[in-house]
Amino acid sequence: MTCTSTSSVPGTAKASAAPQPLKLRPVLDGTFRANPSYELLSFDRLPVEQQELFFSLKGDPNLYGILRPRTGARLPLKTACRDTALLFLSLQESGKLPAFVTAARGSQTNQEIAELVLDGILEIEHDGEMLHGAAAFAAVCEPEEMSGANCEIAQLSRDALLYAQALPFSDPSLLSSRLYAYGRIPATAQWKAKFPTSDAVRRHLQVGDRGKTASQLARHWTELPADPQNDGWIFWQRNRMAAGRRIEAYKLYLSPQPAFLREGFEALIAGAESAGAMAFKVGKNLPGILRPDKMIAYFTSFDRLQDAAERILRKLDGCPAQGVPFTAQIESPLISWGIDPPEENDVPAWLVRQSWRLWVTNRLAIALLSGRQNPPANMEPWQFALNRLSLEGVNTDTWAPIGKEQN
Amino acid sequence: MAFKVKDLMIDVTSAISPALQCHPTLICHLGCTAAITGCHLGCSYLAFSACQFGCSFYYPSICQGASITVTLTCPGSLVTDTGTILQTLPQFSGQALANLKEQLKQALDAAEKQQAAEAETLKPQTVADVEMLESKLTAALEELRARKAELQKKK
Repeated sequence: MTCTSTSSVPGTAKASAAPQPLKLRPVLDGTFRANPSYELLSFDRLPVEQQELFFSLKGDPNLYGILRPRTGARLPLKTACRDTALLFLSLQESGKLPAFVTAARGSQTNQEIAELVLDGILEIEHDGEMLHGAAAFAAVCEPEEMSGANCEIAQLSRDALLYAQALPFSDPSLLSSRLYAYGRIPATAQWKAKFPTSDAVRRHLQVGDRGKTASQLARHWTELPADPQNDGWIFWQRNRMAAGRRIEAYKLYLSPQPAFLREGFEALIAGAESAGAMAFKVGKNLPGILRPDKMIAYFTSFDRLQDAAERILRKLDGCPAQGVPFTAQIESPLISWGIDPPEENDVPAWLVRQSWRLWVTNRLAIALLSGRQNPPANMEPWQFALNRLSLEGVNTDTWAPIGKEQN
Repeated sequence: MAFKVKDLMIDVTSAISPALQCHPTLICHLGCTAAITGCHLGCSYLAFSACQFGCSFYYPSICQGASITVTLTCPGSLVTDTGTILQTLPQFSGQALANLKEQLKQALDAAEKQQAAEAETLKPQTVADVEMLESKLTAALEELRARKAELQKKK
């Protein structure tokens, strides 16, 4: 079972990211109201300690302030740009959208307003009620049959969502972290005995001092010193590349069961070398190799990534996979891909570095909470979360970033 | 027109709490032996933590004191290893200790529920299951009786 496109050539690794956009209703002529459960505070009106908490937001010249839930409201804390603030303040009383919004009629504006409703910032009148968040789904989206998960990783990702939906958490970061960590293998006594230290992992991979693979790697790759900000990896970069660990690139995830770590690692090196990867990394210790995304290679183009995937799959034929949730499967759950979002500077410091998976799980967590607190009719919270994410450019059938297979 | 809104991914109650307190449970929800790098803005402000296990996670923590170091355990290993909790315990105090106790209570509740659920799944689930087990037990009993008779004959 694979997530391949129908046009893929048998035996070749082809990823599919057929767009599956959620169809939105035309909403620009509707009646709206700023969600009274939010209060809008300009940044300079926040208490000093909160200004300090969000000090990095000051880098955004377009920032107005914070949308803060009023006492008792279970809504997520958000930033608001100046246009959002103007719209929010304009709609303190329910009414039609102001002219500065409707002057730019079009599908883009329609989507932006629909998103503000789905995210709980605005309410829309529907059947005599003012609705926001997941409860407003039917008011802004066309009804649509949700397709089933069509490959192992898609199923794993849905299982993760069902698990997260059942967790009694209201903190979005806590929920996101559980989604992110889904599929990790517990560190049992047996695993601890096999890999008690980071050195044991290095020895197993033969990349310790005088290791066979270490000398092979030295010809084309340089091991970077440990990153104190993200010290969970052994990271190699192709020789003669500018130093730097943060790379905007296509990411190939290789996810063998931990018992096949060495075989997977050797296949990764071979694939990375032949297909021209920029860099690759492997978990440096036991928790690192028990996580599903234990090996990652970085490529400048999707073609190179696919080339590497084909080579690796040929070498690892029959190797049991762990599978990385929320990534796009290529032929087998052993290999999948994603692409990191651009690094943002005008966000709180704890959100500056978001990997593809963390970016996805953060959005899913917010939508899951909305779906749970304000449930839509005939739809479970996880389904709302998938629908909401699809508006962010993610094909939630395949977990591929839409339109990113073009180089 | 671009309506730019960003989720801050922070627990609103801790973010706006008037009593800014050290809240280690916020540090790394994966608990990956996170080390707080220190309260870089001084007391009562934000401290950052980086996950040592490569989780890409950054969590804010609001720190009352100057530099503090807190280690937490990873749910990935928590199941079979409580040693780290015991080692870490002396570093907790006040609200953090209360939080830890609450989490442990919740974990115990969850473990008991799971144990009960597991015990339930071990029971036969259908009449057919019961009948199949009954026939196996009867057969085993007959085998034992036959063996008993055999042994008695030998005496």
